[in-house]
Amino acid sequence: MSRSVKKGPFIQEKLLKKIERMNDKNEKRVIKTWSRASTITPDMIGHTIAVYNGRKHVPIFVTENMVDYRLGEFVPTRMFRGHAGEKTVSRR
Amino acid sequence: MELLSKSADKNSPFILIGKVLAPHGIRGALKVKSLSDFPERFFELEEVYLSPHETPQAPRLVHVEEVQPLKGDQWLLVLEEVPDRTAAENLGKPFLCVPRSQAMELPEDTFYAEDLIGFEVYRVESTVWGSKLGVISQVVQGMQDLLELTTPEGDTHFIPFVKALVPEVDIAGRRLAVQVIDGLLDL
Repeated sequence: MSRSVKKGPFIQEKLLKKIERMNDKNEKRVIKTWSRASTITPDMIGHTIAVYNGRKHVPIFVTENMVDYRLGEFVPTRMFRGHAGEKTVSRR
Repeated sequence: MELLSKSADKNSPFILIGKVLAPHGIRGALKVKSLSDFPERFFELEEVYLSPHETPQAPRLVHVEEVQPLKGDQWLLVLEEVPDRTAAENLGKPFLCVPRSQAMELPEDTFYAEDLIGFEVYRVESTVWGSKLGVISQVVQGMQDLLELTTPEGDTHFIPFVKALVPEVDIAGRRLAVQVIDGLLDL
């Protein structure tokens, strides 16, 4: 077993506690976090987490295919301004 | 992550598909940046309209002679009406557009970002269409697409564009319903 596997994924303790508390109460509200490095766990599915991008909190709705990625991967710190043109968006 | 804003004219009969970046070579070829999520459409391009502005008003029709892909989202276009480099330089950096009727067909639950801008946003209450929250001012394309809601007070809020939070999109009525959970509008 490699050292990184033994240590397990990193999740900020405070964030994990909040998620567990909300799951126990079956509650849904936006959780603000600065912890971009926290790994998304299956417990977070269905929750909306507002991740800090250095300027403001950007909400992301956690779905099944986001598990094992880190929160910061879904909220880039740079935003490029472009033309709408023939660009599309999908409601997943 | 790309923040997409719309051209000023909401009812424009044209849709932007690219922008001329620079002339290329001495034959009058144009280096074009694709503004489309369907870059393969450039291969089938026979006619295209050139507009100096983002909001196409009386754009000029030109005929495509040759198309060649370049690196990334760039393309090389040779136009019949642009015979040499001098003509290409005189053209400036216009936008390429096509009539809206030629827009690509989209799968279910996929929308043109441009179309969603200006939609009225309603809160899901006892009915799907509850109280009005504001309008969609911008759309963010990313790992998870976001809608930017602007309230009548001028505040802006991001809303993840997912079925759980945006259960209803009424294209004909230009409105969408948002399930507002605690804290979503406090960010």
